[in-house]
This record gives sequence, C-alpha cells and structure tokens, in this order.
Amino acid sequence: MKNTLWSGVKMSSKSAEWLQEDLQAGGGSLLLLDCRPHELFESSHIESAINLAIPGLMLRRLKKGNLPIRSIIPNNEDKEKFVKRCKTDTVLLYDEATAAWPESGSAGSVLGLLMQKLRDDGCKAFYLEGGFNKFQTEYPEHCETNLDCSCPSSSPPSSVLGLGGLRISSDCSDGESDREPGSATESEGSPLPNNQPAFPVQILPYLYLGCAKDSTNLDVLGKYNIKYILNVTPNLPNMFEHDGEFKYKQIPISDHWSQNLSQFFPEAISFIDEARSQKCGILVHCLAGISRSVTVTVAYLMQKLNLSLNDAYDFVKRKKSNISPNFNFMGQLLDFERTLGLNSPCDNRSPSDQLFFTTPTNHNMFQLDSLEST
Amino acid sequence: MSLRSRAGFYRQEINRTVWDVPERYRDLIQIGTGAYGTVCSAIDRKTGVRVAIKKLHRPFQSRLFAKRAYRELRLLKHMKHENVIGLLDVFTSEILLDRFHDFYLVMPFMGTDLGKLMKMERLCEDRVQFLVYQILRGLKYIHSAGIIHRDLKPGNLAVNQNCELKILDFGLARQADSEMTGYVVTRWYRAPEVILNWMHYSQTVDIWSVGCIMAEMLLGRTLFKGNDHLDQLREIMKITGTPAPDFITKLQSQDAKNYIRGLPKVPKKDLNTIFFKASSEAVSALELMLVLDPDKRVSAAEALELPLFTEFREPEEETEALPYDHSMDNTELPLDQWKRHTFTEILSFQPPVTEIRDSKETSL
Repeated sequence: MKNTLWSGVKMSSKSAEWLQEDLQAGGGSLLLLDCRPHELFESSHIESAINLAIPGLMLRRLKKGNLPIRSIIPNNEDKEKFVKRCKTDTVLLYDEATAAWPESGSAGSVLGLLMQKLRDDGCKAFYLEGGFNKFQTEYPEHCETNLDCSCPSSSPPSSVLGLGGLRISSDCSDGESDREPGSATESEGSPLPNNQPAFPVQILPYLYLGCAKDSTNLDVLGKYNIKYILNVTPNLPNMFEHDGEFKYKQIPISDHWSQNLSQFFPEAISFIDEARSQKCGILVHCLAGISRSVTVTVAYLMQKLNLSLNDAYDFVKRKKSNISPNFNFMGQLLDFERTLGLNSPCDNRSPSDQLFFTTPTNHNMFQLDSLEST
Repeated sequence: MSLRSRAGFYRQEINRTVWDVPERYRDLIQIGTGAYGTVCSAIDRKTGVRVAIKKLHRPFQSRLFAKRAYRELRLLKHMKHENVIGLLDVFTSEILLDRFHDFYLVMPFMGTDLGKLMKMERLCEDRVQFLVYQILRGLKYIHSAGIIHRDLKPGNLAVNQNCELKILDFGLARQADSEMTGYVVTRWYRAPEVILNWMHYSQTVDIWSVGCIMAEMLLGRTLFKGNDHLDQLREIMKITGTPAPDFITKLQSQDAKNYIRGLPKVPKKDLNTIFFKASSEAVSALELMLVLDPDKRVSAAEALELPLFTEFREPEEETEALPYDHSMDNTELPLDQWKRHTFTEILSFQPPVTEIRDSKETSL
C-alpha cells in the first residue's frame, strides 16, 4: 500500500550502533519512545525508554490531529519528562522490528504516524532501524528485562491488584445470607463483607433481628434463650419445626414491590408480645436481615413504644447500621404510623428542614428506658 | 466431538487451590479471590500476552450455582466487543461429562479497574471523555443484545495502562430471582427506579450509573453516597430535586408513592455549580444522564452523539450485537442438565482469532 501521507517526506533513522554509542555516552539529550504494547514494554525494553503504547481509539484520534502526544503517555512522571524535553532532545522511536519503510506494514504506520506528528510539532524525531529485536540481540546490556520478576519494578506498587481488581462476577448465593458491608468497603466493590455487626442483633431485651443463617444456629438460639422464631420469607424452612422446642410463625412475603407486608403487622406484633409475656427471646429474620425483618421490627417498636416511623427507624439503625427496607415497605410503615395516630415526621417539619431523621425526644427516651429495664 | 487430551495439561497448586491448565498458560500468579472464585494472571505462550484465568468455586454444587455458571459462560461467549469483557478461551481438563466438575474462563488481563485508577490519580477531563466514551460504546453493544448490566460501578470497569476499558461482571445481569435484586452490594451507582423497586427496568438504568461514575471522575469523590435506601434517595434528590408528579404516577407501588409524596420539597440543583471546573459539554452530558425519570434519560446510542465525544468518535465502530437468547435464563432444569449444557458450551467455544491479531498489531 502506497503511503501517500509520507511520500514527500524523507524518513530519518538511527542505527542500533548509533544508539548504543549514545547510551554509552550517557544518553543525556536522548528521549527514547517505545511504541510497542504495554506488556512487551513491561517484560523488556531499552533502558530509560518511555512507553508510548496507543489504544486503538486514541490512535484514530491522533490520526485526526486532535490529540497531543503527551496525552497518551500513561503516567505523569513520563508525561512531564516528555513535555520538557521533546523539543530540545533527539527523539528516537522504536517498535518491535521496523527495518525499513517498505517492510513496515500496519505496525510501521503507528510509528510513522507518531514520527510525522512529532516532526510537525517541531521535534527532531527518528526511528530505530531494526527496532527492539535487533537492538536487544546486539546490545542486551542496555536492555532492562523483568522476566524473572513477579512484580515488574516499573509498575507502581499501588497498581498491584487486590480483591476488587478483575472481579468477574459477584456471587450472591441464595443458600447463604448476604450481608451488605460497611460503606468503606463498598467503595472497593469487594464481595467480601467487612466490619459487619454481629448477628443476630439485640433490639430489645427479648427481641433479636437476624438473617436466615441465625435461624439455623442452635448455639445462638440457645445463647439468647430464643424460643420464638418469626420467619418473614415465603421459602426458607422452619428448620426445627418438628422438634417441639421452638414456636414458629411464618409470614410468606418476598422482598418485592408488590408485597403487602403491613397486613401481617397485627399478628406479627402479637407473636412478639407472646414471646415477651413468656419471658423468652424471639428472633425476627428474613433472608438477609435487611429489609423484611427490619420492617416488622420497626412496626413493633412503633406500636409498642409509641414511636414515630422516624424515631423507630433511627432506633433500629443505631443498633444495626446496615438496614435498608425497600420503599414500598417504608410506605406501608408510613400508613401504619397514620393508623396508630402517631406524629408524621413531615407534619412536624418546615420545608427548609433538610434532616429527615432526628434523635428520639426525651419523652421517648424515658419510655425506652422504662421498657428496656423490664 | 473433539477430545481434549490430558497430556496437554499440567497441574499445580496455588494457595491450596488445584489448577489444571493447558501448557500454553504459564507463570500463574493469584491476583484475586472471593465468593465467586479465584483469578490468576498468566502468560499465554501462544500469543505472548498476559491473560486472566478465572476458576469458579464448585460451579455444580447446586442447581442454582450450575445455572449461574452456565449463564455467565454464555454471556461471556456472546460478548465480542473491545469495550466489553469477552472470552479468549474456556477449558476443562476432563474429557468425559461424568468427570466434569471444574472449568476455567480465560479473559484479557486488564491490570486495574476504574475505582483503583480514580484513587491513584485525579483524571483530567480529556481522559474522562475517553473513558466515558468507551463505557458508552460498550453499553450500546450490551443493550443492543437485549442485556441490561444493572450493576455498573467503578470496580466493574477494567482498565489497562493504555486506558483501554472493558465492562465486566455480567453475573447479575437479568437475574430472574427478584429476591436478589435488593442485595447487590454497592448502591451508590444504582438508579432511583432500582431503589424504588420498579418492576420493569429499562436499559437507561445503566445510564444513570454511567452518570454517577462520570461525575465521580470529574469531582474526585462519590456523587451520591447514601448509607441505606432512604439516605441514597435523599442524596439523589438533593441534586435532582424531588420528583415531578408524572414520575410519582409511574411508581407501581401505592405505598412507595405515598412515601415519596410525603417527603419535603427540594429544588433541582444547577449541575454547573457542582461541576464548575468541567466543560459545558461535560455538564450537558451529565444533565441528560442524571435524570430521575428513566423514560427521559438519554440512551447509550444517543449519548455517543453528544458534543462531548465529537472529536474522536467513529460511528462505524459503535457496533451492535446479535440478540442474546434469554430463553434458557428462565428455564428450570435439573442440575445434571445445566452441567451438560455447560459442557457443551465449553466444547463449542471458538477462540477470537481476529481480536488477538488486532490487539497485537494496533491496526489503523
């Protein structure tokens, strides 16, 4: 293919011998640009070279003339070095094996494109005859090779991959509880939970909020004297139903917008009160202990402690920070609040008050103290 | 049916996990592990490039796991686009279905992800443009296949040191089990309709995530950093304002409607005051992405036409995919059949020859 873009321009090259002599003399006014893919640069390259690997998209943008070359240098240190020296130093580009222009093909086009761009910008740009292959063969002492290093020395330490790197698929298993990690972990996108509150969480002296796994843990159930289990799922089994030791109630509700959980509030509250009157612990659980079981717990606190939705929600959140009922359940709790005749948080606030949740009032605190001491 | 010879494989143990891999993959180094499986980097001696090999943990221990493994494999096989993670290879060392219990997915090694990149350095707008363009190009392809990602976040965007980007993590795409929807780990990039439990998502659910990611690249901090559902929506409405009546009308749940109507009124914020250092083109793009109403949000294909990307976009390269056949996703089959289907998919895999050549030569 005739390269009309450069047909009128004489290509200038430097030999491997020339480069060796210049490096031997210290290479003080030489700017070496390695145009090969990043992996090849990482495994081996000529000493002091800057990698100028170009993604396909950037190459096309460079071809259109819209892109300064400094933009494609990945790290800031090399970028700065390039900007300072490209006009004063001799710029020498090399790829894998360019020997002469008739042989360059598409690979030469990349190098040629960069050459043209650099010369248009007023740089003294040349290409290395025979490319990296020839130079490495003849002068290996001037090449840095990292084949024996598990971590290439030129990579910044912070780029070593952690759990978040190259994660292909997070596995939310149906058979196991999946608890949401704290916010610090969330920013990493790590599938592993971190700093979780201990399950189950004690909300009141007799009332425990938990997940599916807790309902199958006899040690935990025994430790907290839990004899009553409220199962807010349609499909998780009541594990010890036939043992006679536990009393179960199942509320067959999915965590879905179409579900009406509030219709079960009265019987759920009665069941919790029955446990209390029997001086036993009760575990309220769903799959993950985040949405359905929280909703039932909040409803109980609203009715029994005369808390507004706002106050009851905040009460639970202070015990267990990773609660997150879905919005239709929140709407149902809002309706429940009206049914109970409790103060609506919106009615109590002026429009300018941006805070939606506040700490409980002294009156409520008194009630909490008296009830908790039971 | 081709036979896979055990003689071409070798075994090694890495961190108490046994790896049976073909001879062409060498220098395995573990780079990640978690509930999903384990990932190693390796050198592919055939091509000379570094790859990532993922071994799934016990993919056939249950019907649910088997179906999920099958779905992930099929999705990865379907994706053939430079901005979407795809398969370079998939293998098992077993010849017979009876003995088949492990398989390995081979993908390009990308080095890091956007979340880490944003921690390492502040991105200039030039680079933000380039990265967002690639995300949208990949999304256009994914959406044209009829797939919605639904969990786009910086950690799911792999980036190599050339700033080439690939969208990862299709494990959650179109999960039939609605119970799982609410338990996706990161919620900062989740669209309001997801938070409000809409029944039917449209593809613009992913565009909201792109807007959040782009905003974070420009600001250097998370835009909507809620610590639960309520707080997340509150953070969103601080900027978008409380929803208009027609948006509330679209909510399926009367309870959610009542709840939203009860919230105090907040006006919409001018994005120019938040992104005062960004160009007007960048702010315009964010305005079109961070729209509460998914029906009014820009699509991936439309976003590619915005002035922000005019300089270096190539419409001919903004390709679409063949439709992805979802029918198997909603099927309930016994464990053995999922296993057999997975085995068949592995045997029928054809490596992307042109992709490897293109990436090596960086053709014009």
